[in-house]
Amino acid sequence: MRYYLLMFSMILNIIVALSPYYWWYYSIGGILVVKDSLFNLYVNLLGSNYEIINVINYFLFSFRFYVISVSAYYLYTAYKGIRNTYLLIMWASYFYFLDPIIVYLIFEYILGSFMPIKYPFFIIGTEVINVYESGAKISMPIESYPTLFYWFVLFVGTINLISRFIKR
Amino acid sequence: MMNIGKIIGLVVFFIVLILQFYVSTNGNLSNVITLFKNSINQFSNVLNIPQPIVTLYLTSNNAIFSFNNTADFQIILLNATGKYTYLPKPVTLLPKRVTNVTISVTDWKGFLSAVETRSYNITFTFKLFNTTFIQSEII
Repeated sequence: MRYYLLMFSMILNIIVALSPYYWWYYSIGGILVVKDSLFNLYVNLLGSNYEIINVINYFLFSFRFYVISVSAYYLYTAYKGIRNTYLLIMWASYFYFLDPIIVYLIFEYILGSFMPIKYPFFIIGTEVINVYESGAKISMPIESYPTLFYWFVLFVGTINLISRFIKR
Repeated sequence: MMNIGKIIGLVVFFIVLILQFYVSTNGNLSNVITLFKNSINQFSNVLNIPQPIVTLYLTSNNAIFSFNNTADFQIILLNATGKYTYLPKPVTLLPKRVTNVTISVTDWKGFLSAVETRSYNITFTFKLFNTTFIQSEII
C-alpha cells in the first residue's frame, strides 16, 4: 500500500526547503529590519548588515538539506508502504504566529520597565509607537507582515498535519 | 527516535556546513574561530545612535545651523520650527558630514533678542529610516 497523501506532503516539504523566499517581514521604524524563514535570515540594523548573520545562515542553509534528506527518505518509505510522518514544517509555520507575541512581551516587560513605551499588541499590520525619551519624542512605525510564500508554507504545514491523521 | 532518514539528514547537514565554512575561510578551517570572533566584535559599536551636533551661526541677514552628522547613515531634517523661524524645505544630512542649513527668520528683531537672552525655543524634527525624532532645544 502506498500513502499518496503522505508522499504529496513530503514533496511539498522538499519544495519549501528548496525555496529561497523569506516567510516573514518585520521592521521597527526602519532602524531594525528582519526578514526570515526557517532556512534563511536577513537582519539590517541602522543600515548595516552583520557578519554573525552570515554565520547563522551557514547553519540554516545546511538545515535545508537535513529537511530535504529526511523528507526524501520518508517519501521513499511511503512509496514502499511504511508510514513515517514529519511535522517539522507544520510546527515551524504555526509557530511563526508566536514571533510577534514574543516581541510584544519583550517590549512590554523588558524594555517597558526602563522606558516609557507603550507597545500595541498585533500580529499582522503596521502600528506606530511613540516614545518620550529625555525631551525628545520618537515615533516609529512597527511593521509585521507574512510574505506571500508564508501562506504556501502554512498550507504545506496543514497538509503535513492532515497526513498525520488520514492514513492514505 | 532516530531512523536512517534522520541519520542521512544529519550527515548531509554537517557535510554542507563544513563545506560552507571551508569556502568562506578560503580553505583554511582553522580560521573559523576568527570568523566567529570578528562577527561578534562587530556588535560592540552598535546601538548608540549618535545625535547630530548643532551649532548656530548668525550672519548679517542669515541664521545658519550647522549639523555635524557623526552617524553612518543619513538623517533628514524635516522641520525647525519656533516662534520666528521655519525651515523652507527638508534638508538631507549626509553621513559623516557637516551640513549647513539656512533657516528662514520671519522676525529678526524678535529672534535676535530671544537668542541674546538664551530663551529661543526651537523644535527640530529629524527623520532616520522610518523613524521620526522631535527634539526641542533652547538656544
